Amino acid sequence: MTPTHTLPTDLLLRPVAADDLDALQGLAAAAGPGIGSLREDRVGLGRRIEESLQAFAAEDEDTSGEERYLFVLQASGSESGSGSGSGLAPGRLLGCAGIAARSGYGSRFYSYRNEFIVASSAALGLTQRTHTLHLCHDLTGSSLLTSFYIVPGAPAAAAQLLSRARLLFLALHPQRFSDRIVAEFPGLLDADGASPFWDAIGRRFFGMDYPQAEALAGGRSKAFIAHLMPQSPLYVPLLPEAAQSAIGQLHPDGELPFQILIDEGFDADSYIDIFDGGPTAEGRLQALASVRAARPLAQLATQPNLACTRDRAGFRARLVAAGDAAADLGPQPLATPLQLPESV
Amino acid sequence: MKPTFQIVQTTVAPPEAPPAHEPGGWWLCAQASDGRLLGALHGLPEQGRSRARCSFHFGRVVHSAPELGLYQVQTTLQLGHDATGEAELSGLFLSAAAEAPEAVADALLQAALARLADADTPASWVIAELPGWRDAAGCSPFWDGLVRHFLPPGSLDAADAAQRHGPAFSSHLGEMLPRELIHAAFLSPAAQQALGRCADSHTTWLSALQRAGFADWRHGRIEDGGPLLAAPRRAGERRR
Repeated sequence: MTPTHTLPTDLLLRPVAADDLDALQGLAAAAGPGIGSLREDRVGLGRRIEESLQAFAAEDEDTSGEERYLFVLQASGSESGSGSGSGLAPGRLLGCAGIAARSGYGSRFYSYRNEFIVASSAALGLTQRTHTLHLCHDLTGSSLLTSFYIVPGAPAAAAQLLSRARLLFLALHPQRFSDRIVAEFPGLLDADGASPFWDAIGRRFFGMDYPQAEALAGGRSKAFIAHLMPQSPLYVPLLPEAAQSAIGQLHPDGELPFQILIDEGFDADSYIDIFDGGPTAEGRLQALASVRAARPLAQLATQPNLACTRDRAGFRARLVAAGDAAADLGPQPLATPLQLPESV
Repeated sequence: MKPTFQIVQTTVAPPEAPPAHEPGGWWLCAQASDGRLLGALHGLPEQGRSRARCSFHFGRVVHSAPELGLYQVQTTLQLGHDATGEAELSGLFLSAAAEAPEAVADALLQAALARLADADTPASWVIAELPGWRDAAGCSPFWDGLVRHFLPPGSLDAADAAQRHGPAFSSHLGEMLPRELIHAAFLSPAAQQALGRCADSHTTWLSALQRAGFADWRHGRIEDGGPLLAAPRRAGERRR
């Protein structure tokens, strides 16, 4: 359990603002190419901020599923309750995380689905189980957790706040989102930065390097790439061993956010990314640990919590020490335990 | 000099020839004047009546993204039973002692096609399978690049299994192989080069079949990728 006396209660999660552009660009530069939804492209980031401002401001009846929300984690410099400060300079952005209301909006969201087929011949006395990958649109329309990045060395609880506050936001505004939540994670790269999965599959049909293709997809729908991919199942045994080994394997950069979602109850065995074979995690919102444990803060006051406001446009979330009423989070903040029980 | 042999029809398989792919039908034997067997083949008016006859169809799919200026033509393999109901020539044999093997093969094919043209069968085509290419060690790159991946490791020796099960081996093997489209690009380069490539041991038959009007049917044998060739069945009438 995270001790109360080290709880960085001065970290504030809030919607991105127009004047965050410089800081956001700095985060994107530090994030590197592994996070396809957070590219160091000032024009693109500016557009991303504008989209997020519109999404948070939109009334429920004006939403279509196209909305993309972006949150930032900021050192506020003002310690709250009985917690402690992070020691970080006030105003500094420590990270960001997003939500796309509906994946593949207006198009299709492609994944490979892991399946197994069993062949048998009585005459030969043989049975063989074969791993296959099926190009599919199963996750189209799911709500997508995107753009997670937190600066190295940030307090562990900060990553929990940055990732899981999104789940509380989803729970507070279910009419805007799917109850099926999905998150893609970067796949394994070799020592040269090449993706063995891409080299074995995508390159054969797409004729370019993985970073080039991912950059194109970052600015456009992935669907256009799928036009060049085989529509029939891929038989995994036909792939080179390096590609087979990369299926569902996580790039080290993704370990922290991946583990947070796995601890929430996400499943990461069914789908993989069509670019690099990285795992795609999915879960049902109401089954996620943070959502199942969510209560009014007053009911969870004896432990450190992650708490948030209930309003949309002025959404705020922070870590709250035991006994802290978090008056700054408005009436009846929604909270979930920072340390989730083994079985909620 | 005109070859001196005669074509004899029989229902008994000559022991020198490889087995017919299915029972029924008839054998044609080219016999020298001294009775030696110079060549043989088996004719079947309609294949697939006794067992599932599997082959890979070699097709093409186009992967296109006009907005990127990308356009790719990919070769594909689709397991199926496309030759079912067609007539077939199998048991192809030419004696190493035949002085003019091309003439023997030509005569056998001409006689077989004439008989099949008259046969009471719904077949539109006459199909002939040829064994696939093998390397100097006798290994099939097609087997190594595709087939073996769908069998338990080390479970089956292709030559032994073919010996044990005879022609039905390919039907049993078909039960183990993928039913969905396979992109040839996922096969090893050697396996890709073996698609529809005839074994060196059968080039005389390949040439004879082509002279007789057979053409690539864009199908391959499932065990070694050897070509299936086809000729219109009724075209045989013109040759009589």
